[in-house]
Amino acid sequence: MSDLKRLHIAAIFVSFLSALRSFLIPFIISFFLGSSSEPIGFFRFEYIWIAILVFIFFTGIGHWVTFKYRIIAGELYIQRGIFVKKKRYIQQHRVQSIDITAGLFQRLFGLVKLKIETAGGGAEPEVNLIAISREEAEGIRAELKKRNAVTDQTERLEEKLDKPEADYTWKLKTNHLIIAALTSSGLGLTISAVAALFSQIEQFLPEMIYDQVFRFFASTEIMLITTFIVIIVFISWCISFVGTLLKYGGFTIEKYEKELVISRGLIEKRQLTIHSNNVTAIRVVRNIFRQPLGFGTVYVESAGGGTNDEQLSTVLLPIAKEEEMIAAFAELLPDYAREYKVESVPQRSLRRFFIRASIAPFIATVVIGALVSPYGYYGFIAVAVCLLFGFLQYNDAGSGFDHTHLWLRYRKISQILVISNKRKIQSAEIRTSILQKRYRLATFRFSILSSVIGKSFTVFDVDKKEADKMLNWYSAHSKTTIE
Amino acid sequence: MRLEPSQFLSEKALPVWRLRAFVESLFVALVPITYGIIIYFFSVPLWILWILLSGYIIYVVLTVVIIPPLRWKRWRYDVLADEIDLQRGFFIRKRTLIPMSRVQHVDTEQGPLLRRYKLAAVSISTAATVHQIPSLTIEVADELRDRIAELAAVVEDE
Repeated sequence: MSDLKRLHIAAIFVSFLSALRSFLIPFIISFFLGSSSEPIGFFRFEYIWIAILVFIFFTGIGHWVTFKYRIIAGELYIQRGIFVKKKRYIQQHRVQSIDITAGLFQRLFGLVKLKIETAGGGAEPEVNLIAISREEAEGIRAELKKRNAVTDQTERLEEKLDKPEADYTWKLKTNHLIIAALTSSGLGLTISAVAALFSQIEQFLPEMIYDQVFRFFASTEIMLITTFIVIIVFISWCISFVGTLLKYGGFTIEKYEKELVISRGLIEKRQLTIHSNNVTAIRVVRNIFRQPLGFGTVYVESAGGGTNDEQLSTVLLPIAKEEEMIAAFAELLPDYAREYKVESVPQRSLRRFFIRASIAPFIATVVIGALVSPYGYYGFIAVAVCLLFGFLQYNDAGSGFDHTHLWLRYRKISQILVISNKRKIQSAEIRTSILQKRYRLATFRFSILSSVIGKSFTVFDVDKKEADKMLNWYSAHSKTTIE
Repeated sequence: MRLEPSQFLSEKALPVWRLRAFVESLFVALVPITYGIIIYFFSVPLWILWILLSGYIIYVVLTVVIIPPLRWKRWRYDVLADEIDLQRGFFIRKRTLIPMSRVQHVDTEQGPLLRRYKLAAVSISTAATVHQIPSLTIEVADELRDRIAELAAVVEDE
């Protein structure tokens, strides 16, 4: 057992720093709360934080001391746990995906993080080696990959593995990266975050500066509010611009046989591998900024793989035009390379889309308007926006299928086209409400496996006949009759 | 249009559903009860209490008396050699297909209420979803579970 290895000692600092990062927001919040209350309250917060930091640091040491691993003949053995010892063997054929990431903290020490996902690991589907050298990580990856490759290929492939040369490489062009950054849909989120921060910062600006700056703009109250909004939107837009550049900079996909290796990121370098057999669905998302320009983002859902910040999906093409998508699919996932003809929902469902989109804001506006007349009635602007979205949702909703694939198109805010293979669909369902029945409409939904959880995709108010056709298409046992 | 599935749930499902709906309605009863307490302490109009009470009674009549038989009539299933076919839902009718090759495992479950009526529910899990056939007699549930397990083992994915 002497050949058990530990992580690099820097793992202590890496885990400490990353725990620190996840405590950053609560820390800032408590700082704001603390500073506005009594001094005693503030000191108490400080003590608690020091205790937490010390605890995190010792946990980091404990993790490093107890975490040991070994790799022999394609089997990874890991033991860990401070109080409860956990031992785990991971066999190479159970490995779903291997993800090498060089996060900011790992890069400080010139290390990488290795994440291994296994099939059906139950509560813990993945193993993280948070700080090891790049050679070690590559070594483990090569070891866990070896037999998979050998079984379906000849020995020549092994040479290939030593000095890998991709069958196909897809690179994100710089001008596309900039378009992606300019039209990122993260903007909405950033705006709310910046707006929240802004309301806090206001307290900290010296009154002199604050007065001078805003006296210049604030000839009227409306002007002041507009200025605030413009500043907030502009700052948010800059942040999301830089954020997207850092996230998708250097985006490359390399294809080896049936494996897709996706690398991306400028500061936080990520690399992950998806086996094309594990792909369960593809999503083409066109947000409201990109759709008019003809661009969209392609996500893949896969069994295993996927990260939490992308709702367990993986970005395959950060931004691409329709033709580029088809060209890239032809190389990367030939199964999905085609145009998808969408059968739109019938016109009679338009009314239902309008009602669905606007009923909640409409009621809210009427109630609030009755209470705080007349300002509450400004809510009708929101109702109008919702009606517009209702129309867009109606316009985009649709479905289609051929002998192997099924696709649905729908919109919440962004337009989404989801495509899946019959063999990857886990179940399919038609829903008909009493009202839908009267209009001969139905809601169709199918479920697939995404990473470790199930995901369902739904299209509302398609023609009942169309929905029945899709269900029959899915059925292995088509007992088509006329009712 | 597909034919409706042919199998019904056990008839004993009805009293179970009614009992369950009644117990659930007790939470709704908290609304008139709370209002009654408020009346005791503050001067608020009494007629609202009558509206709330009659609302509650209508709710009980609907959920306990009227809806369960309609739901029962709608709930049907079929376990075929290559797929499971479920139909259910009164207000929203749902029709679900689960190919046998996607079934990962199948369980029978029995809470205290179901056990009293000698009933059991069958849960069918795929990689992505879980589907339940509620309120079957124990014999039917056991037989169904074993049959699905056997069929799922035979049908291999293409």
